[in-house]
Amino acid sequence: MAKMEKTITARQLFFLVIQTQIGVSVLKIPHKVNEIARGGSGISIIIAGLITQALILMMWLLLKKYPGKNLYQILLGMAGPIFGRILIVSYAAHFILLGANIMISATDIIHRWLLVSTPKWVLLALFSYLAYFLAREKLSVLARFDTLACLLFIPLVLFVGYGLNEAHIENMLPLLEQGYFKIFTGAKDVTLAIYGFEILLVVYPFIKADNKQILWSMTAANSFTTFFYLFVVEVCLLAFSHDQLKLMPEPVIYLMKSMNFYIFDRADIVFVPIWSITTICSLVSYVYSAALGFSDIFKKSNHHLFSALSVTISFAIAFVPVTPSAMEKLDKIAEYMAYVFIALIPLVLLLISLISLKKKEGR
Amino acid sequence: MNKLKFAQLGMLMVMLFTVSGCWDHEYLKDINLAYSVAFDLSEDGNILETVEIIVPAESEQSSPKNEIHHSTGLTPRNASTNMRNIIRGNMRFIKFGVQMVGTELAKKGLKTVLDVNFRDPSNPTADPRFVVADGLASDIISKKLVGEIKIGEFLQQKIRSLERMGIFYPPETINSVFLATTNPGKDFVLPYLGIENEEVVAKGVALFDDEYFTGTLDTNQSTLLVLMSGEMGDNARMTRKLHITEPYLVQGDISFNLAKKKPKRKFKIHVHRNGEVSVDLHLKTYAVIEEFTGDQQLKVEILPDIQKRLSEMLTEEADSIISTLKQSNCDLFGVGRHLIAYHNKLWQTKNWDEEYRTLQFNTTIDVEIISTGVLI
Repeated sequence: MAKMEKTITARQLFFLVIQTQIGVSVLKIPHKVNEIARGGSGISIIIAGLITQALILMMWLLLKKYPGKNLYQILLGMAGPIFGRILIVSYAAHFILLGANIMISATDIIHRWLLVSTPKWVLLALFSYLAYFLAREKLSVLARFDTLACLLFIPLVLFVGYGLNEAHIENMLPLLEQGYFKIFTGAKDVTLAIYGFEILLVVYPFIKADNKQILWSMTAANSFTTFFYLFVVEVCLLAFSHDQLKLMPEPVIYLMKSMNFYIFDRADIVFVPIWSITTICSLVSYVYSAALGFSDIFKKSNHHLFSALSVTISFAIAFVPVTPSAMEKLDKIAEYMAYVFIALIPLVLLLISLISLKKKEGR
Repeated sequence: MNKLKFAQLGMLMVMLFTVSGCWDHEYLKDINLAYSVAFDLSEDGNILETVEIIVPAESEQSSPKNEIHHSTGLTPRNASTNMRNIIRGNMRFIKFGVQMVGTELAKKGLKTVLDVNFRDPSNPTADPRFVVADGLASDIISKKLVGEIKIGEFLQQKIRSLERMGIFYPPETINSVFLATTNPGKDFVLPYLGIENEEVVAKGVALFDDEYFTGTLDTNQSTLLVLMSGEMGDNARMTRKLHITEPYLVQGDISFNLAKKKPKRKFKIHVHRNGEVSVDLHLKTYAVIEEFTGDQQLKVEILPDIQKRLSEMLTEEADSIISTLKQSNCDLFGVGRHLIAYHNKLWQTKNWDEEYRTLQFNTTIDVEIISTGVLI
């Protein structure tokens, strides 16, 4: 596998990771975290960034021990051919579910805000086709696209920054209204919103850089994402009071809509398409990761078919008619899967590898 | 490989046919644009909606005409739905510029009226102005034409010019009203229009407590109120009777503009040790004299006396404005918001609605004359 994929540089890794991390949730996170932490939302985000950094460090330690292998190959080597394959399939399922989750949220938002009379399946089909189109390519193509798409962060930041026109510092205070416990609970939710760094587990062997550089660019990417989220959340907290944020599931789009740009009335119509490209980037990353998992199971060197398969499954899941309560359930499932697949399994693997290495040294 | 290319091509073709048509389009010729809309409380407690619809011109030379229609319903949306039964075709609010609410409905709260504006994203919110009407708002829209101008355009122009004159400032759009109704600890004022002698006139501002209409101020007061809340339009013109006997005799009517130089505003909220709150509001304004009808010359020697007299008069007026605000329970300056943010524990113990009425305001307004125009 590794020979066939073209490699990416440490800089490309940076862009790949931030594009995977920043997705649908950026629009919703101010609402979600405000529900719990209110004025302390900013602190929650910083804590979440630190938690993420710890998880990244853990993954890096694990991968460092197996140069040239990614998670799937490590799993195959450690858990044996049968149990290893089961684990890989569940990882792929996890990625597909995340992809489906992204598609559901993104099409839901576009459907409600932008294309009200367009049938949802058309939007889903467009997303799926774009995702397939990129995910069947080599990793280097993905990384290049992500790098290019990062230019879109400039208008995103400018648009959101324009919201500071309506900022009132009183809206955000008092900071510690809800107490530290709630701030930590909020941090948990944010951590779940900024996952995406686990793509490192999959792409590790394709990175043409030494381990130190990899850790650096992962750290840089995580810091960028954390500060981007911090920026978005603080602007929303300054522009809206807590009671207003409670009413708005996507405060960032509301902010766009509420601002008067004089030339055009609905800035949200400009904002949502720009944001949706960022969303597609994270969708592509998940589909690619799932496809790579399947190709590792079947020992195929080509993942075209598997990416088509992953996209189709995601499409099928997203196509099931969804009510808000079903979406919430899906979110909950994704949450628990994240605990297992992002934190628990890598941690267990790391512990096992530490023990087994000690044994070797002992001999 | 070839197969894949083929599949791709097929997919593209399918998309070409299914997607490029675009579901979300609307032809301007198919829809009726509402330019202004008024909501009132009908006698049986329902919503009475009045819209001004623009009818496209029949020939290219003539200008578009407007029609006025009424409908009722349980809610604004319901009334609009019923309206669509009355008028031909589809009515859309995508271009509307003014939304009015009658007195009785405003007293029952604005949230019910505003909900639909926000739940449906196709309604514009950042620019349309929100106005309270004295009596029935539908009476104003029903005037249909003011001179040659259609009522909707007339209202838009009128509100905008009054905003520039500093009578209503800052501009209150639907969006800002919605945000203000959901902001605890800070209230707002809205333009207040009415009909007098068959003319649509600005009557001042309507004061709101939370989302309920509770009081009014006249246009003289609202000009000063704008300055007191730290805002400024292009102008703030006032005319007062001057009568000073000592040391010089100065008698006549004086018009002055306070918005030619930004006033200095000092606004402090004091929280005393026993939990009592008091507010200091000091405003130093700079006046340009635009008119003086007395016989005296406005010489440098007598200016300090005029300044002193004007300061006294405006301070007195400010006090009466504040007492009206307090009676109406309209916390325009956001004292409550400040307490929530900086003295949260104290805020929790307070019954703000009660306490605001007895809140101590120390208000002074200083006037300094910076110019008397080209005459002395």
